[in-house]
Amino acid sequence: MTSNAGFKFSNSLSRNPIVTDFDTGQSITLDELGRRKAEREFQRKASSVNDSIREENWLVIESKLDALLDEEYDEDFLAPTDSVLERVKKLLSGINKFFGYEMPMPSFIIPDREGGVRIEWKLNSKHLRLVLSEKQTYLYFEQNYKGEVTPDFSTEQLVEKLKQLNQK
Amino acid sequence: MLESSISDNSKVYRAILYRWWTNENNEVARDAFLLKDKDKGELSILLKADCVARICSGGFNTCFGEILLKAGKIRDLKLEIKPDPLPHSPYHAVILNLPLPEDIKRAEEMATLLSESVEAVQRKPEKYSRNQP
Repeated sequence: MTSNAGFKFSNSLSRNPIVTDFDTGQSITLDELGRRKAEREFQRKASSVNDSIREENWLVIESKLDALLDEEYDEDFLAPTDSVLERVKKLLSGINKFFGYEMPMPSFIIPDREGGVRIEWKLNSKHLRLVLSEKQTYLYFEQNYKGEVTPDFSTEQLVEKLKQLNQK
Repeated sequence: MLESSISDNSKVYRAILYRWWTNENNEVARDAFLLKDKDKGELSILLKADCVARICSGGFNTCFGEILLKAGKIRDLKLEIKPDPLPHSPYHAVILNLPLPEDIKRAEEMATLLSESVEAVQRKPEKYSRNQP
């Protein structure tokens, strides 16, 4: 007997018959199938919420980066270059996809006044600062007033520091 | 004004020269306390901020308000405050002994300490400038 709900009864006389879960091809009890279906539905909804938060986070970050171009710059105060902005966007977009709704949002996305971009996070009494410019590139992580500088950092190192920032 | 006349209880002001030095939560970016090469080792502050009618008493081309600190808290960090009056800014002073930009670790650590010493942030409703608009 086949139902139209994604499973097949193999023992319809039992109160908790063995059925086939079409999603996995496994034979399981009807109770177990119900539990799995509820869990899948929850994960589907959670994933949809996660996507929505991730998109919102990215819109905020992207609008802050785009707003850097609206400032008045001069020879003492250099605008972030196009190549720096492009690198920062690519970096943050990837990080945002990686973290999803757990993405720590920066407190500041600002020009470094020397042609680069500076991003500051503060979370759980920890600080993370990222500077990306033509002149220098570094990550600065601080906990309990002790700082640590990672020059010319990789994306993996940034992910690691953001994970540390998220830890309570 | 002599340095000795700046008591530990005196208020000093760091002009908000760039609007993004403070955010919507009135937090101060650590960047506001980092020296740049052009600063030549001196961080500008004001001993008095009495800006009126959109004219900046610091004589800055643009200013978006002030970050208020207490002189004593700056000295607690082993920094020095030196009056440095300028023709267009008689209450101009500087903070000395800050780590130089190339010493990233110490400069960033000091920026944290200074930002945590901030007493208040006074944002202007609009941009102030040296000359009357």
